[in-house]
Amino acid sequence: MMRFIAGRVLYGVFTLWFLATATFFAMHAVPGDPLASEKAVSPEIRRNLEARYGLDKPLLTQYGIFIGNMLQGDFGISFTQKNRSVNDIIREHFPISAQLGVLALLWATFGGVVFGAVTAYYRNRWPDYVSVVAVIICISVPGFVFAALAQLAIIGLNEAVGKDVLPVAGWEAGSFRHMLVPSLVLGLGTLAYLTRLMRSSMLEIMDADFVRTAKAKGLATTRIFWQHQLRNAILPVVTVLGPAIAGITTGGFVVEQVFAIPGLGRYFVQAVQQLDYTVIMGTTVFYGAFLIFLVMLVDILYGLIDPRIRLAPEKLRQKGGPV
Amino acid sequence: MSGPVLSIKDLAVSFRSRQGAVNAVRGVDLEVMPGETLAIVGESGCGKSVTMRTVMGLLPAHADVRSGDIDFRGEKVLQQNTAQRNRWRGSRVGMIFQDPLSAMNPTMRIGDQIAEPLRVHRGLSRQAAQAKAVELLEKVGVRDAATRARQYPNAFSGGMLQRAMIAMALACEPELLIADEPTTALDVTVQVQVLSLMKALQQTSGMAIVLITHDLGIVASMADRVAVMYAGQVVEYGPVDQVFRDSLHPYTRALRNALPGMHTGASHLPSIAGQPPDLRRDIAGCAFAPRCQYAMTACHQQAPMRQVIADDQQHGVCCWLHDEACEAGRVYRGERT
Repeated sequence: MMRFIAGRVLYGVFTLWFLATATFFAMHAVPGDPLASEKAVSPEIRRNLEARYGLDKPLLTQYGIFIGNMLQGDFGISFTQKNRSVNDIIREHFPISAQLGVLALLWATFGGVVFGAVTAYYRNRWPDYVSVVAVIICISVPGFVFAALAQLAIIGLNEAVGKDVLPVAGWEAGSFRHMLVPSLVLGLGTLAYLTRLMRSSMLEIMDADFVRTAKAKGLATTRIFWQHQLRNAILPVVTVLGPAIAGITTGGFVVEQVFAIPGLGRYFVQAVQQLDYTVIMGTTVFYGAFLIFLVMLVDILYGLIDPRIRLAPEKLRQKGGPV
Repeated sequence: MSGPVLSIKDLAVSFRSRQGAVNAVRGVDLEVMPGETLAIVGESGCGKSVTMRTVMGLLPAHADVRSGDIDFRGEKVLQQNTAQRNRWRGSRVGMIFQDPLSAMNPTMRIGDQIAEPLRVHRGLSRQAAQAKAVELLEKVGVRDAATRARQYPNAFSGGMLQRAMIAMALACEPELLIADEPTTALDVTVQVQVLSLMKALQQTSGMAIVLITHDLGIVASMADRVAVMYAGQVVEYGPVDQVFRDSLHPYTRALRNALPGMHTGASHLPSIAGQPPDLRRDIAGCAFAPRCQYAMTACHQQAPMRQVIADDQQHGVCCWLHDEACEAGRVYRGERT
């Protein structure tokens, strides 16, 4: 297991280096630079600014400096936001995005597993048909439409009750009321996708030989579900959790924008528009590291759920090579 | 406790399909006596597994029980719902299956799977059930049972896994064990081990075994009585030595003749000409008639009644050739000596 984790970490570091390098050169290949958006300045001031940010040096030297600073955990100062370091921006705004994302992921996973299992049990009856239609809508309609609709619904609710039950937009640190609706909207697409996945996986498991054995053992239906079906049916869901996390974190931008939530997504997108080099690199590398870490967690989780996966490398070693 | 453990009367089961109903079981009568081993033989699709799965309530959703009565020690099985069946399923009747690797839960430890019926039916605590599970694994010949109990099915070989399956089915000391082709997926040498284990466990516990198989060699070595099934019906039944020595039904004879012997060359494997009938159609007359070299006009028109061969009431057959009034049958019956 330790070998497995060490391997994944090494692999993750390499991925991260590749991501940083590719982003760095792609970013510099884009016409213009962070200073182009400033008001017309004299060549002298411009030279001073370039020297201050190190933009006067050859590209490879800049790359070397960037990598060196990155290894020390320093992403530099933002071009567009005076006197704010990239680290400050991440430290301040990422926890907000993370809270929203984790909550959305929880809704998506629990909702997907529960709805998927239920629709599998009601296969080809009305709850199943209702879910099919709902899933198609949730997957194909873009998130900002749901975000706007959700705001309308909140306004309607607040008016009907006569007081502010839920905020229409905005953010307060640690306030669940402000997180509830945005996280639901954010998780909706993934929830729908996981519902479908869980349904087909559950249907397969319901006909499995070992479920028949469980029935022959005289176990109650609920026990068969919890002890025998769920853990096996959930495996495909765990597999796609990695990509699902990526979808939710990167998709957070739109939802954050509509609900006026000061998350990291906004800075990520703004930085690209303004070619704010340091913020682009900082947020990209940070998001990349975050995703790699989560995908690795999912892999380990997968091994914990399915002993066949966990054993595979050991078996290979015993047989002295790949089979 | 005399009288049969299990009695099945006139059981008919069909499956709904796009092409219409498939009549997989068409009127089966069977009795299993305490402590005996009854083998059910027949080729694939003859309804032997479906019959016993009906007993256990393991039919898929698209199956219908058309008629019949199943009695297990007073439990009217077909009138019971799942909860009522679960009072005896897995505790008083155990069942093992063909492919132990797919029949065990891949994400649950072997020990937990064996302990499960003990916890559910006997209400044992986790520790007590685990201890009993290890004991059971030892009993079925799994070495280093305490370690093995903590492993998952993927760490077991097929033979060891079938032993674990047996341990699981016998955890609550059932009166009846239903074994659905328990050795078909195993190596021949492992087959013998598993079968002799079942035999040994039967001798100590006194349980009855219903052995579903298509292997006549297994029947001869394991069973006390045999029921030969063809196209959803029992065509011949009786004590194993009688059925094999004095086979009454032409199908039984053909099956016996189809066994490759020591002197049969590899180039010549005897077989029964023709195919089993299409079970989606109504079958007028005897289902085996189209493949039967002795078939008469009557065989194609009317289904034969069951004839019990008088000597000991044990050996029965469904065949017109054994009808008292059958002229051709006298020749047929005279053939066998």
